[in-house]
Amino acid sequence: MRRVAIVGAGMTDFRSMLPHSSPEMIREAVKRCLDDVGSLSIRYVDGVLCASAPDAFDGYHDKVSIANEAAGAIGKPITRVFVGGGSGVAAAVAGWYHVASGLFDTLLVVAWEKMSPPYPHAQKLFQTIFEPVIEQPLGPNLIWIFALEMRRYMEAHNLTKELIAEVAVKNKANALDHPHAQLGARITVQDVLNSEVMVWPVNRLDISPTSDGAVAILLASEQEARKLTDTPVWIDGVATCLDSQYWTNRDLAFPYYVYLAAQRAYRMAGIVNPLKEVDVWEPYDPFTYKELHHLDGLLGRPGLAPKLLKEGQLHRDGDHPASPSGGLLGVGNPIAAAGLMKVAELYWQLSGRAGKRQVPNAYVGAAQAWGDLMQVGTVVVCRR
Amino acid sequence: MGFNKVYVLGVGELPPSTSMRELDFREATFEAAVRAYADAGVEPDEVEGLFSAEQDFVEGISIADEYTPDQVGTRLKFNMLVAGDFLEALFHAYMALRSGMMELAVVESHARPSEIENYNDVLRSSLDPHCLRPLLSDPYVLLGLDARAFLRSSGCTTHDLSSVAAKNSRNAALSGGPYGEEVTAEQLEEDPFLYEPLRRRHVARFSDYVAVVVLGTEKWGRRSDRAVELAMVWSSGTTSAAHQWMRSWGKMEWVGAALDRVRSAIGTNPIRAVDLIEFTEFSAHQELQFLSAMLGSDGEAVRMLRAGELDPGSTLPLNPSGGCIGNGNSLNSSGARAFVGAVRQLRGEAGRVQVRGARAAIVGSLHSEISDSGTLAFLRTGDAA
Repeated sequence: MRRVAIVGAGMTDFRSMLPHSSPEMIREAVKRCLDDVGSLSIRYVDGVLCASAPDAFDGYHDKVSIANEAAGAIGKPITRVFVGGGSGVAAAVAGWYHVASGLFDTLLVVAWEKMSPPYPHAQKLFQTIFEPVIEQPLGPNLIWIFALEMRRYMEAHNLTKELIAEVAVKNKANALDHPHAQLGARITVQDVLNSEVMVWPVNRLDISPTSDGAVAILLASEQEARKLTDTPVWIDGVATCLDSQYWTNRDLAFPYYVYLAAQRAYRMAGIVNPLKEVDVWEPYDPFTYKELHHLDGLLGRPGLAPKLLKEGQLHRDGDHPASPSGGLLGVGNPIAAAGLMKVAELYWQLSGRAGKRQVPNAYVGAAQAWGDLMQVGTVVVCRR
Repeated sequence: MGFNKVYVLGVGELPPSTSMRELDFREATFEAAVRAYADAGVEPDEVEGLFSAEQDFVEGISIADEYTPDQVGTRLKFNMLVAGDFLEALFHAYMALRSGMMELAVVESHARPSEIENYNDVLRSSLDPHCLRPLLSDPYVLLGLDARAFLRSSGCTTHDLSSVAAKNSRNAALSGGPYGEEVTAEQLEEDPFLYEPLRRRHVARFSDYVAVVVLGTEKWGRRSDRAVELAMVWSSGTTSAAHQWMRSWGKMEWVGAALDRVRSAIGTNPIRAVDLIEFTEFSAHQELQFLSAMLGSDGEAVRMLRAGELDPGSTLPLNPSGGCIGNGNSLNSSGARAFVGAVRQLRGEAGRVQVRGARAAIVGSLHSEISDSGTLAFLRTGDAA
């Protein structure tokens, strides 16, 4: 297979009510990405792949039209992919095959989300993701179903709220070192437990915020990558996996679709024992328990992640650092952009440019996102 | 470094109809998938990935790929939703197969405009909310502006547009398209203007449609004597943004870039290599615009039309299926209908609209009715492959 590298990355601040329109956010992320590659001209880029989740956030039908001019894609091939919350990592996956196919030598991948404007709250728009005949009439929202999943996960592994709350404490602290973070903070487990109960067992500080933001990465073939940077980060494994829409028919204790996606990505990357071979993890953490739930899937061992957390191994200075960026809980959750932020973090970590967030001896990393109706897992494995 | 060749192994569809209301969209997709797998001679279990082309506002459901794996038999497989026309999802599947990432994939698209009460409002919301939406209560006005620019630059007349519409309507009468009719250009000239200079039947009406296409690499292509090679797919960019300020009115500049990629893939001028073209003309002028861009000459396209060289059985049959004017505008599935029609042609299974000896075809689709970007696919079989 043709090898594909990440050669640059850039992002906007993640904020609630960011005073930028979607095109302005895209333009800023793209400029920072191209500046990261030595002020590369957009003319050098063969095409653009963009990702953004529901059209309704922007109030646009077919919102690729928001991105084409802002990303500098006028006259260039541009398509848009999305798989709900999994979109950011899915964009990196799709970007990979653009370049690996030999049809593109360089490709800009850009993801954005503008979640602040929907009134009264973006959550209302999520009602339209539910099954229209059986589920929508019940008026569900995402926090309800995540509460069900969290409760099942706690039950399956006998987990306490206190332990799960440590994910929020860890990630928000990590985010203090991220220059674009929305919710970096020093908090305690007690702060999480004392925060408002949204739907038991989910408290407010268990949940990532609604955010606005954009992220861009530049992909290149091996030949181009060698010209553009001395520190390419190779995407060696990619996969997505979509489970049934009928989420009520699954055991929610284990994300089997994440497990399968990870196994496929590892196979591509030649990874046999991810626990030993992966140095840095960026699992999708829109909720505290999801980081652990997804890590279980990535590691292929149900219930292992909570044990690692308890032992302090998921901290940035632990043996298996998870979300050293600060994750969605700390950096923010502009949905598609949040997933691509995790890929960008792998780029910064593996190229040794993560600054105060740097994980020592990071050679191999895995990023993952999750979405649709709790049914899709998207995974990339990167190497220095 | 070698890249995989890609083949079309099977197609399944529910033919275009003015309404598919007797079937839920999931039932219709399931039926098309069953037909595609039977046509390809593969089992759903063997498929490694699914690429679908849907749009939120058209579905009435956000994140519409949630509803594909169960119907298509791709639960727990690779999945990618491409927000655009079917050919754009095909472009993604083509790249994934070519890269070696997978060997067998399906591409799915469905559209149910009969269930959309306010499609014009949906389409209008693809435009800039400050500058254009307040001005355009009906976004199809842009089609009229584009048609006017094309007529001015090309020397075409409204009668030529009627000739295109009449040709496609007659072709669809043979292919079974829902808007097929035996009609002449002169009769269409009696239609009132809808978006001047476009008359009522110059603009495609809506139809429901669903299709599933099975693609495979050489490993699979070698197993079937009915496999059609998908030699190249290329999706080209736009000259404009949502505000349309920079648009090259009256032209399809995207075609030239896509044609260059096809040319470099097949090593010859594609227009000389093909036996037929299928294109998603949402209005009559777009078909001539597309052909003009393919030929690099406005005048030649008009000459061919007037000489009858675009008719079935002539030099370069264009939309022998009847196109969108004859089969309906199936929104993001329009490219699928054109693609399935071309595959059937190359397999000699196109029935009464069969182009004799067809071995190579170009399929083109627009990103949307009012878009100035699109995708080209080049298909070939037998000696042409």
